[in-house]
Parts: sequence; structure tokens; C-alpha cells
Amino acid sequence: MNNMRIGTRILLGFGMVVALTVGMGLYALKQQANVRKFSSEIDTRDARILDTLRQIAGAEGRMRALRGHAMVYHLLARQRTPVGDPKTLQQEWMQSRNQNLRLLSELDASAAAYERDAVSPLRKAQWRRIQTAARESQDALRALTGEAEMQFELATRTDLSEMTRRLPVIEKLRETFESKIMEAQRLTEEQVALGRSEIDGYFDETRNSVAAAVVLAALLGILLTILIQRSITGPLDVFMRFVEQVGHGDLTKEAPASRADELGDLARSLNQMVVGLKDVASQARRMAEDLGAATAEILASTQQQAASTAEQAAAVQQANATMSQITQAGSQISDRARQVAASAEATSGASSAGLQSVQNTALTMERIREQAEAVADNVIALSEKTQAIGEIISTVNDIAEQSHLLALNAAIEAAAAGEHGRSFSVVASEMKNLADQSKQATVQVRSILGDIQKAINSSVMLTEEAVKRVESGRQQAGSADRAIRALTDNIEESVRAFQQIVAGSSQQQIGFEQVTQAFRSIGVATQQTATSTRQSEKAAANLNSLAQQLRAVVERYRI
Amino acid sequence: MRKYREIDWAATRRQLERSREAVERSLEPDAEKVAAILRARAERLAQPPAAEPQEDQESTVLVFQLGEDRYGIDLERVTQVISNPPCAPVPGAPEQLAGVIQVRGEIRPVWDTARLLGRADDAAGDSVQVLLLNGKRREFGLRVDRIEGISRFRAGERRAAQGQPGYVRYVTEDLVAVVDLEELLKQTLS
Repeated sequence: MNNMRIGTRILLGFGMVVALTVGMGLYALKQQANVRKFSSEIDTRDARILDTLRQIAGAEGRMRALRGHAMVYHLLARQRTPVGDPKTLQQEWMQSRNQNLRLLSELDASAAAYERDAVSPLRKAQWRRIQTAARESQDALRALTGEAEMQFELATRTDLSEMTRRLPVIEKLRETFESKIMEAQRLTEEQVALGRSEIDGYFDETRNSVAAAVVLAALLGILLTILIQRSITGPLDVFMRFVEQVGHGDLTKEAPASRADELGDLARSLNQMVVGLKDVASQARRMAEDLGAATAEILASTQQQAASTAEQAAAVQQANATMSQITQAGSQISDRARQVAASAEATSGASSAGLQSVQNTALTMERIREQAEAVADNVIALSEKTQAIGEIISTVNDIAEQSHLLALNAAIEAAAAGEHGRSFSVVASEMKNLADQSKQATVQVRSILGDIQKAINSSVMLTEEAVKRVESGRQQAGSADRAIRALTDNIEESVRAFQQIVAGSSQQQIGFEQVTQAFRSIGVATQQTATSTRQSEKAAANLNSLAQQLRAVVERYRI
Repeated sequence: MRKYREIDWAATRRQLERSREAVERSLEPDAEKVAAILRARAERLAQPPAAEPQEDQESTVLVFQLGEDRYGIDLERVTQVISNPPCAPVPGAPEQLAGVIQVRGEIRPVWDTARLLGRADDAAGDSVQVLLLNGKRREFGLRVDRIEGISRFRAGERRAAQGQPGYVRYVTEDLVAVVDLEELLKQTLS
């Protein structure tokens, strides 16, 4: 069944349900026809039997009446009032009796015929009982017939006593017959009731069987439906779960595609779809990652750009300030250049005076040199005088030392002289003191003389240096002469240059104003750039978060 | 540019004049100054000699120097001081004998005091003084580096010669080692 196409399966199921419905309807129709036939048959048969029985009862009533008439005739005949022929009455009675016989045999035949094809065993037995009752009725009628003919015979003979004597017999026979007829009637009525109940039972049976067929058909339909539904929805549930997993992003599984029906086709299509989704998801993941990286880079570069734009703005502001300072400085330079040009012209006049002064200086230096040389000669002569002083000092020193020794020996002599030399020892001691003072004085003078000689030496050296310096001063005066000449030339050149500077600085001023204007424009542009960079940064941040969201969305797919 | 000191030539000339006058005054002192000098000298001479206690312990000593150390000799033994006499070395003499000198026509031996005292390493100075001392038989000389002068010591100024060589009689307060000549000569020449 699994390998049957679903369309075929559904067609088959519906066909079976339709066949069941049709069969059940046919069965119900047939049962209904049976019921109708059955009931009409019962109605027809029972009605005929009842009709026959009514005719029999009617005929029996006439027979009784005729017997009464015969009695009446007899009585009347005894009174001598003939009213009719009793023979006629008898004939009529016989006619009724024959009719009854005929009806009873007819009843018997009918009951026998009905018994043969009775619809139920109960009715068959009833028909048999009716048949028996009909036969007993026939027997009773035949028994009655002899007695009745006797009666009519007696009536004709007008034997009243016999008649009266025989009356209970005939009455008893008649009652037997009547009871038999009544029994047949009762049986027939029972048969009618039985038929009714049979019809009811049959109807119930039919109804039950139809209901059972309906239930059976419904059950079969339900069973078929469930089977078909199972065979379709079972795999469909599998696919539903599979598709749900795919919907949750699990692309790792495959739908079972072993079947050959539409579900197999569906599974293969789903697997192809999952393969496509995998491809798409992996591509999307890669792209999301690339996008994330790119947006992160964009964000980073935008932030960097924002930072550098801020730095640029600051730099432009600084440059602007610097430019205004430069402009100010340029105007100051221009003013200063004008002043310097004026003072350079003045300097040019002063430098010729300076030249004259330098030449005078050179002459003066020459005179100074001559005088310094004279000073050196004087100092050298002084030095020779100090040499003489030194010799004198050494002589005095020698005298002092000899005096000292002399005083010492005098003291020794005084000591040797004992008490007599005491006053002489005082003199010797005094002499020794004088000699010591003289020696100390010579030491002082020698030290002073050393200072004087040092001073003379340093004076000579200073003078020599002064001469050298004067010489170098003279040379410097010459170089100053050349320098001042060069300076004058330079100053004239400087005056021209400063005039050019003044002209250039006014042009520079114009240029600086243009540059300042340009910096203002740059500042405005930088602020605009900063604004747009902030927007870009925000957009990049949004883009980055979108990329992260996209990556999170794509991450849902497990490949 | 160096800033030279401005020279006041007039002041310089005045100062030179003052110097010249001062030199002339000092070379030819005026009467007032001469009188002052003479007066000061007379006052000093007029002072009575310090009361000298005539105690046996007082001794007069001639103080001389050898290198950095100061030594003393009793003045009674000294007869004369001679400065830088020509000294003739004697061949074959002991090393303590510096040589002989001639004094008033007589030959006297001169001992090298540094060697006598065992200070052989001391180099002799430029200036040499010779003390002439009266010995038992005749005079002899001691060669020293420098003669300081004559000093008097009282007994209270002496210190015991503890820890000193045997020829040191005592040491004075101002660290002059007074030498016993006989002992010194006996020790060194025996």
C-alpha cells in the first residue's frame, strides 16, 4: 500500500465508501420492498380469510333464521294460516348450507395454500390451526345438516313435539358449528395480530439490519479514512517536524526519501530545498561575517576619521590663529622694515663718520705704542736700581749676623768673668737684641724688595702686553676700516632690500588675507565633515549592529 | 668689551709724591723722632734687672739646635762661639771627629755632635757653628747646626730625664734637653 500513489489511494478509498453506500442503499430498498410485499400479502390473505369467515357467519345467520322461519311456518300452519311453503325454506337453507360448505372448503384450501408459502413458521402453524378449524367447521356443519333436515321434515309434518324435543340437539350442534366458526375467526384475528407483529418484527429487523449496514459502512469508511489518513499524515508529520526543524535553522538533517509516492517526491524536493538553504545559509554566514568585518572596519575608520577630523578642526583653528598672528607679524614686519630702511639710511651717513674715527684711532694707537715703549724703558732702569738696593741689604744682613755672633761671644765672656762680668752681660744682651732687630729689618726690606721686583716684572709684562694690544688694536682699526666700508656697501644694499621687503610684505599681506579666508572655508568644511562623519559613524554603528544582528540570524542555521 | 678701570692720574701723582717724602723722612729722621727713640731705649735700659733668686738650682744654658731638636749645655763650659770656621778633616780619626780648627794660633779638635748623639743621618746644614768648650786638659769644639741663644732655667722648670739616654741630665719645660758633656764623651769615646 505504501507504494501506491496517494491519488490512487484516495480514489480507492472513496470508491469503496461509495460502493458501501450504494450497497447499503440497495439493501435498504430491498428490505423495504420485502416489508411492503410482506405486509400487503398478510393484509390481502388475512382480509380474504376474514371476508370468507364473515360470509360464513352471514350464511350461518341466514340458516338459523330460515330454521326459525320454518318453526314459525309450522306454528302458523297449525293456526291455519298458511304463509308459505316450508319446502322453499328448506331449499334456501340448503343453499346457504352449501354455500357455507363451499366457503369452508375454500377457506381450507386458502389456508393450505397460505401455509405452504407462509412468511414465518408461526404463521404457518396458525394457518394449520385455521385449516383444522375450517375442517372441524365443515364436520360440524355436516353434522348439523342431518339434524336440520330432520327439523325441516318435522316442520313439514308439523310434528311439534318432536320438533321441540329435537330442538336442543340442533341447538347444540349449531352452537358447536358456531363456536368452530368463532374459533376460526378468532384464529384469523390472531393471525392478523400475528401478521401485524410479524410485520413489525420484520420492519424492526429491516431497520436493524439497515442500521447495522449503515454502521458497518460508516465504520468501514472511517477505517479507510483513518488508514489513508495514517498513510498520508504519518510521513507528513515527519516532514512537518523536518520542515519545522529547518524553520528553526537546523539544516543538518535529511528527510527520508525511500518512498516512491508523492511523499517521496516531496522528501526529495525538501532535501533539494535544504541543500539550497544550506548553500544560501553558508553563503549568508560568510557574507554576514564579511559584512560584520567590513562594517567594523568602516566603524573603526569612521571613528578614526572623526578623531582626525576633530584634530584637523583643532589644527585649522590653530592655523587660523597662527595665520592671524602671522598677518599681524607681517604688518609689524612691514612697519619695522620701513623703520629699518630709514635707520639704515641714517647708518649709511654715520658709517662715513665712523670711518674717519677709525683712521684717527689708528694714529692714536701708534702714539700709545711709542709711549708704552718709553714706560718699559723706565721700568727696566728702575729694576737695575733695585739690584743695587739688594746688594746693600745683603751687606747690612751680614753686619747684623756678625754683630749677633759678637754679642753671643761677649755674653760667654761675661759669664766666664763671673760676678764681675754681670753688667757686661747686660750690654752684650742689648747688643744681641739690636743685631736681631737689624736682621729682622733686613728680612722685611728684602721681602718688600721682592714685592717691588715682582711689581716691576708684572709692569714690564703688562706694558709688553699693552704694546701688543695696541698693535692688534691698530690692526683691528684697519680691519674696522675695511669692515665699515663693506658695512656701508651692505647698508645701501640693505636699504634697497628693505624697500623690496616693504613692497613684498604688502603683497604678502594680501596673500595672508586670502590664506586666512581659505582657512575659514577649510574650518567650515571641517565642521561639515565632522558633522557628516558623526552621521557616518552613527550609520556605521547602526550598520555594525545590523551586521551583528544579521550574523545572529544567520547563526541560527546549523549547517 | 672690557671695561678698564679709570686711572686718576692726579691722585697717582700725589701718592707718588707722598711716598717720596716718607722715604726721605725715614732716611733722615727729624729731631723729634730721634728723641723718641732714644727715650724709649733709655727707659728700657733704666729698668732694674729682674730680681734673680740666687739659688743653686738656677743654671745658665747655651741652647743650640740639631735638626729640629733643641739641646742645651752649661754656659760655664762654653768659651767661644765661632761661625763657619775652616775645618780640616783628620785622616784615620774616628768618624765622630769632624776635624780640627785653629783658634788663636792653637789647634783644637771639633766633634760632630750629631754623630756623638747618634743622629748620623742628619745632613749638615749650610751654616755651621762651632762651640768651643773648656775640657779637662784643653779646649775642644762641638759642631752644631744653629745657636739659639742663652737661657736661664730654674730648678722648677726641669723635668726628670726619664726614658732618655744617660747623657741627658734633664729636660726643661720648653723641651730643651740639657746634655752632660763628660758623660757623652765618655760613652761615645770609651
